[in-house]
Amino acid sequence: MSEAFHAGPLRVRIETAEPSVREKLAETLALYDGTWEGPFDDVVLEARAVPGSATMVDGAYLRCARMSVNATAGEVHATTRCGAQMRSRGEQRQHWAIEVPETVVASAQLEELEDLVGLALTAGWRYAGWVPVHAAALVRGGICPIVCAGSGGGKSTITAALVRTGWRTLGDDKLLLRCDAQGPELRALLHTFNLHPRTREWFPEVGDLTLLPPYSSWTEKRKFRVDRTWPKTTAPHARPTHVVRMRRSSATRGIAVSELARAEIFPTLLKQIAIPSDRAEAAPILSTVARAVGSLRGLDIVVGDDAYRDGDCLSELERALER
Amino acid sequence: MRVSPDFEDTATLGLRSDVVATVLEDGAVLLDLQTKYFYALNPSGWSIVQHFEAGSTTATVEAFARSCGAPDDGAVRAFVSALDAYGLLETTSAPTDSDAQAVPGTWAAPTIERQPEPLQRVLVSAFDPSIPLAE
Repeated sequence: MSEAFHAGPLRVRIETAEPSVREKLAETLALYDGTWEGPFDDVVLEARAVPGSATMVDGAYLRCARMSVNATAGEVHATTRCGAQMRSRGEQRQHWAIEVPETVVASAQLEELEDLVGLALTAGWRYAGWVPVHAAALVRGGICPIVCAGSGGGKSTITAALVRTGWRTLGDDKLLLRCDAQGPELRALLHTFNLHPRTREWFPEVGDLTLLPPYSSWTEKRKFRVDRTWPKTTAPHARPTHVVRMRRSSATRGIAVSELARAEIFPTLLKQIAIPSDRAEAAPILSTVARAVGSLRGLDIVVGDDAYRDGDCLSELERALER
Repeated sequence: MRVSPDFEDTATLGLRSDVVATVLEDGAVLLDLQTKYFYALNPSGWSIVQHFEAGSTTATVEAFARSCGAPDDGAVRAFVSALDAYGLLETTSAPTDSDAQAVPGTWAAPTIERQPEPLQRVLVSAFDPSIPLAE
């Protein structure tokens, strides 16, 4: 059985006879609801159940919490903790063969397929000329900050806060970046935020987030559709103007804003990108980031624990962005 | 992983094959894909590293630096030693033609600055380079 999804510039087809595997792959791909015009690169995810489990590879290409990946000139080979594995076929890495242990299929513990899908997508996006960036971005009046922080660093909450004051968002943690003749360009991949249930304390209109499906087994965050609560606040693309380095501190009241040193802009953005240990793949990522930061300004913000209780907490940041 | 404590002036050295370079408006950055450390180079440092991308000797890069106006003050040798100490060089075969350009403007002593923290080696996912949290 075959089923197709769009994920940014990719058209992804699932081929599997296993209903639960198909459902998990489809659920993962369905998150990418950003609107793209073609042309699309085709990617095939072909999955089957197998009797045995794969042994974890050493992760020389990429090491993730639940997945290790090796690569040779002709093949990428990923393995996950549950014994699933995935191999690419062809130089363009557009066909991926996934094998899931029958025991895992029977148990329906298929979360690690998300990691394999993420690997196939990031490879496809890079092949299509885009760099995946784990950051938030907003746009208003020609100003577009890329908000950089680690997981749990507050990207989603500040994005929601800015959306409430009239900004539109390209996403709270998944963006694609490239550079063309006009400079750096960002594209949105999905319009779902990952919000912590506590967000309701500051933004009551989000409602009881515990009623929504969880984002992952890693966090308490919930998948939250932005435009359901804040209509017409998503943007498909923008030209970035700023890099905003963000961290949280219990010692800060409100949101403290300062200039980010020019030399810090490149590492700040680079730290938001998963870079495979493969020279041929790392080089274009570095080159894209280097070209992008040439035109970007930097801001450093420190967000206090309860900053969003103050309805005016964003004004200094907004003034700094507009200067 | 140093080439040698006191490498010969005439030994041909190259940038390690898993070190990637990219140019910035005020120099360049090297990323060591093995250690995940990255390094900021000023324009003079980048012009020297370009020689090592193609394979070169300490004697050759010192001569190149002098041709760009560098004083004979040991700064170039110290820079090459720093590259070596960071494990960014390896011995290689005979040099190929270098694309290295003369340094624009006035020569300044070459510098290399290692970022305090490397990029994460174990990531959340292929998209998220954050440190994985406990499940």
